[in-house]
Amino acid sequence: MEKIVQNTDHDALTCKLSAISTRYIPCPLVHKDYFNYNDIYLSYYQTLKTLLSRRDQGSINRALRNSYPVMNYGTYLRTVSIDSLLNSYLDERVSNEYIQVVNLGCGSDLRFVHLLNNFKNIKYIDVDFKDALELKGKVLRTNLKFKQALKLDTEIMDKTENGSQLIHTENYVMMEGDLKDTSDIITKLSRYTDTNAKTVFITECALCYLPDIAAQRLIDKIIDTFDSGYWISYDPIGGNQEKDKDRFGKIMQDNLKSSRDLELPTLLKYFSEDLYSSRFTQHTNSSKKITVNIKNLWEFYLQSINDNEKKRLQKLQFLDEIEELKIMQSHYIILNAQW
Amino acid sequence: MMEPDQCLQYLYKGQLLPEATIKALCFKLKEMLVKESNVVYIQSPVTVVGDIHGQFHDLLEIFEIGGRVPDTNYLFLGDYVDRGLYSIETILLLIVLKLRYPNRVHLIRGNHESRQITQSYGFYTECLNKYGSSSKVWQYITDLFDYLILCCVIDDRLFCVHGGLSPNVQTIDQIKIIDRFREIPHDGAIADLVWSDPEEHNLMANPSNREELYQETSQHFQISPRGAGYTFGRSVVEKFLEINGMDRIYRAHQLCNDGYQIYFDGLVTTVWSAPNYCYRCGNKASILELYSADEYYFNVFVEAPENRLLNDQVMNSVANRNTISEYFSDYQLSITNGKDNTNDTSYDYKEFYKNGGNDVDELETDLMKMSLSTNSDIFSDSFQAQSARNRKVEYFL
Repeated sequence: MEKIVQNTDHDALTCKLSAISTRYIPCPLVHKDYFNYNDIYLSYYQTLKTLLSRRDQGSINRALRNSYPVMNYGTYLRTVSIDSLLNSYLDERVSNEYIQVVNLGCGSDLRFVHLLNNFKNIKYIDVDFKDALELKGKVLRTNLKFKQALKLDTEIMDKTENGSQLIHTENYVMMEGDLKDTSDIITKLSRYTDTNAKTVFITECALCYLPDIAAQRLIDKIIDTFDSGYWISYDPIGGNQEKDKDRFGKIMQDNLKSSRDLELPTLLKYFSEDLYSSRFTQHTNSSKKITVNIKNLWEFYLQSINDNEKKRLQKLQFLDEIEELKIMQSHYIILNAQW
Repeated sequence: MMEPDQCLQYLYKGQLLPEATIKALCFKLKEMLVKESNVVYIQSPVTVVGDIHGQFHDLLEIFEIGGRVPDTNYLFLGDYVDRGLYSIETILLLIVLKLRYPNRVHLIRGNHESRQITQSYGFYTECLNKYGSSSKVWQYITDLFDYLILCCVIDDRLFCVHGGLSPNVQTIDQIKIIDRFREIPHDGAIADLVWSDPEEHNLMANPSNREELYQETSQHFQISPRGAGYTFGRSVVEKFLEINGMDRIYRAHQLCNDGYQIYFDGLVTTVWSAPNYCYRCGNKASILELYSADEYYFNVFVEAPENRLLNDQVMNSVANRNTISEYFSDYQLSITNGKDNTNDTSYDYKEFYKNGGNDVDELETDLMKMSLSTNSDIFSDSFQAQSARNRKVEYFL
């Protein structure tokens, strides 16, 4: 199951590269200070290819050739929704106060490159399975651009991790772990972060692969452990099968199970925005006040993307059917929770 | 050259035809269609079918629930290809049915019956995959698309088109004089007819205030969010119907969750016939059964159970199989006594397909060899998963 979940990073990366090559991202508004966005991802991809098996190379190449507009729109919305929340939060901080950003289930995500470049006094922690981070570390170490960007010559070498590719500098840490093993994650996080400092947690299609109890435990424990936090989560929701006769979730579950044995244990349980929010508002064992905002990505598209930007997107590729985009994006949510 | 009936035998089973046959069929149909007007007049009873988009199983399902050709007359509103995985099987079947029963089947052109769109939405890729990079199948079929009619009138009262109305067209006579034998242009009458949409009501409007609702839609055509064609409101429709002596408009083009969608108190109706669109939208589909201009029924259906016939690549090379059970019984026999001999590359395929005969060599594919060599139990989960993997339904993961 682990390998199967890890493989979803291939999908995410491919989708991102596809959206970049068709110019959906970078977004001129949200990413206006993200210099060399294309360069960074393409550079990562070039190096990664040299380390992948032929088969994996082939599947990424194939996917890049067939980039459907509806998928590119979705990847754009996914990226922009998370980045805009992140930017807003960081922009609001008072006089460069120290903030930590923890990306749970980060995969090959590279937003840390821009964040570390654009914001001072930030520490970024990438969390994922060991294998995933080893590969990522290898790519970053092999590629000169990243080496320089991350200032790898100033790396803090952990003696027990000799031979490993995991990176550990003053403000960027690769923390290996299994999100299902909550106590291990919390222990390690406590070692690498200051639990009293403001911390951002990002789960981008990460909670959806965890069993219900494990996901809830993770949410609860993190909120308990960290004094002041801001959680950004992007996930699919199944839709209301009973009330709206919405079969999207059930079909998605069946398709993923039969085509790649991938399971989404909570897709049909927290099937609406309200139910998904409740995982944060009703967490147990805490007297902390939590404010939660949630919307689905179709709402995000309607409300948060201005007309000019919508026009720009329209010109990129011919999106034949808006109905399909609406159906898909209505089943993905972007949540932010603050305590 | 195969006779239409012979072709139908293969096509109903979801088997592909040789390229030479496709070339000949397209040529023959162009010969027939060149004589048809842009606007064809037909009589009820007729069953109107909306977008199919390569969902071949569901086309067969339509014939199951709506009745087979020629027992039932059919009017197809376009969008036969793209998005689904069996565009070729779908369009070939419709081509042969039109050739065989020209007065029972009518095919209107949709916006996907175009060279440009099919290059981005799957049909071109499918042709490459199924016929190879040096084949001209995509070319033959997209050339044929230029000949498809633009609209239909049923019982002199019901106007049928793929998309909708055009600011360049006030009368149906104006449609008749268009030169349609070309690729769909970016703008102009043809583009509008296949791309336009009825204007949706403002979702924030108060539904109990009829006056407000009526005024919600524009007096004139508006630029369409699709980037081609226009949107048109109620008054535009009323004007068109009045000038041309029509009662209603039937069209397709837009995904409907319930299989059909009624606008403007029935003046415009969308018929959508691709259930569970792209294998993930979970929508219903419908066909509109018109008994007369005033008696009709929306026959709503959901996706057909995936027919193993098509997912099993092995079957594609069987020429004369009549029933699945026949096939299975022979197949079981060939898996000899628990010994897996399917890795034996000298395996005699001709022996395997008792009735297959000459066509086996021609139609044998790498996929067939692969499926025989990797998994001998076609009922197993892994075999089914293998087929499902071919579907590659995409999500954000």
